[in-house]
Amino acid sequence: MPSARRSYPRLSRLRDGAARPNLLPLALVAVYWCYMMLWRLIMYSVLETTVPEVQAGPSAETYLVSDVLLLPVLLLFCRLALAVRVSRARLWWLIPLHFVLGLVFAALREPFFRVATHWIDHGPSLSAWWAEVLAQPRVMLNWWAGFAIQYVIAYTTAIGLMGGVLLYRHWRATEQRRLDLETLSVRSRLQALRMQLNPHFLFNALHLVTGLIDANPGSAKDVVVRLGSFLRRVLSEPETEQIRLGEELEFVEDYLAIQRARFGERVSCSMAIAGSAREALVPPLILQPLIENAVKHGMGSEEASVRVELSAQADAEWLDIVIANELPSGASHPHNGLGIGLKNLRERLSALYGDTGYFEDALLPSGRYVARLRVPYETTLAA
Amino acid sequence: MALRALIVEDEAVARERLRTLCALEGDIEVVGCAENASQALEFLGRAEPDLIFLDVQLRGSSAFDVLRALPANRLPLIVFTTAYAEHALEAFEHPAIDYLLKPFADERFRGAVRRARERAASIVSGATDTAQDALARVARASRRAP
Repeated sequence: MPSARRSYPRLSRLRDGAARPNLLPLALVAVYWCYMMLWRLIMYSVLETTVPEVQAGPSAETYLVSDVLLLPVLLLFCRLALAVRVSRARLWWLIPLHFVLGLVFAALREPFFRVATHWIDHGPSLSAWWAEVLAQPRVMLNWWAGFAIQYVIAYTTAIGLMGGVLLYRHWRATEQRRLDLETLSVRSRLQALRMQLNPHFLFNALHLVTGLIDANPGSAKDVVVRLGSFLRRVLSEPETEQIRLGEELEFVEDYLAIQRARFGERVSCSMAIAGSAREALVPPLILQPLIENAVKHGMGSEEASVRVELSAQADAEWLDIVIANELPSGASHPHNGLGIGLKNLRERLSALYGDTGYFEDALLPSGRYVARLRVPYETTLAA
Repeated sequence: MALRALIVEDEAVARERLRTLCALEGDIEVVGCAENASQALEFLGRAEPDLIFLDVQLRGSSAFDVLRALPANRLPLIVFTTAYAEHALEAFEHPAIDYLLKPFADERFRGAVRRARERAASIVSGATDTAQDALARVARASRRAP
């Protein structure tokens, strides 16, 4: 349980961006390489018994050992490839990178093979080979080029395999995020109905109307219309994942108008909304739990009245919404233990904006409760 | 015999409606109106109403706190009013006359008052309501809630 009083400036990330260890792609590369090794071993074992030239050359075990020695190098290269982060637009940079790494990998095979020959077949040592390379670079290069292509292809296949895994994961994550959004959106609607706009609110509003019909018919009509428009927003199926902040505020105004009719002077509200902020897109019903909490906790004690201060500002990058109200003295942090509405709010922000959406709230020592919402500033609906 | 009533309700419009309904009855005299539990307790400290219309969801403290603060030997007749039947069981622990679910019709209010009158008369004659009758009433009230 977090402490009741948190310092205000601390921004709590919705989800920390700690990367998961990419063990699966590396394991796949290792399996692929073992498969290649096995085939080479079988191939040379068979050829050794039938083809005299092969019989005269290095033994099948030599090939196996050099391939085994190459495996950590391959894994290291793949791990490096995983560490490289490029934006989607610069994805093509990976092609020259892996071309060069592929050549290096193929080049390394030769000294590794020499080491293996030295061990198994007691052939010339590594330094003898190196002297040979220095003496006859052309001949050695030609010899190397003859088989290097196999290793370049093997390397490319390993990288391709890994890329495939990553691409599949990315696709799965995107799909999962889309599903999460759908679920959360449906759930938030149900919750809005059951929890946030609790039945008390609905029945009290209706009861308010029965009282107003005789006492103040004009006000009664107004409350019925407000309630109708309020319920329409809660019950209607959303056509889009996001709505304009301006529309969301109409919803808030309906809610507050009904609460004002119930409690009179005890509920008031001020809104300072920048023009550009009205155009910004937000998830529907995102402000409702915050406003409802503000009213509920602001009026927590018998005599208390609540003034909800809502402000919204936007720049090219961010939309910032701040909801503040004074809490009766002695009140504790209203969201200790995180209400289900706020949990849902965080989940929805996370599903829609990943790491780029914030929700933070704090109870200042002065008794002022501040909830702050930051989402990327967008004005065009995603297709 | 006129019943002296106290209205405990935190919404002004709802308070006024109860006051009007009581006035229409003729034999119910509203002797006090309280917006919250403290005001109710303060009133009960200096007067003894026969009947209380008690809103279950009061800000700050619960309506049951008001009842617990009263000595058991001089409990007035209680009519709970609430928007939601979640407190029906707790209300049953207190000897409530009726349980009005908001929004209620004028006729429903008259039923509660009628029951209060009968009870007041039976207390005078020494008869008591059984617990089963009270439970059945609460259950009926809960069923009517959607």
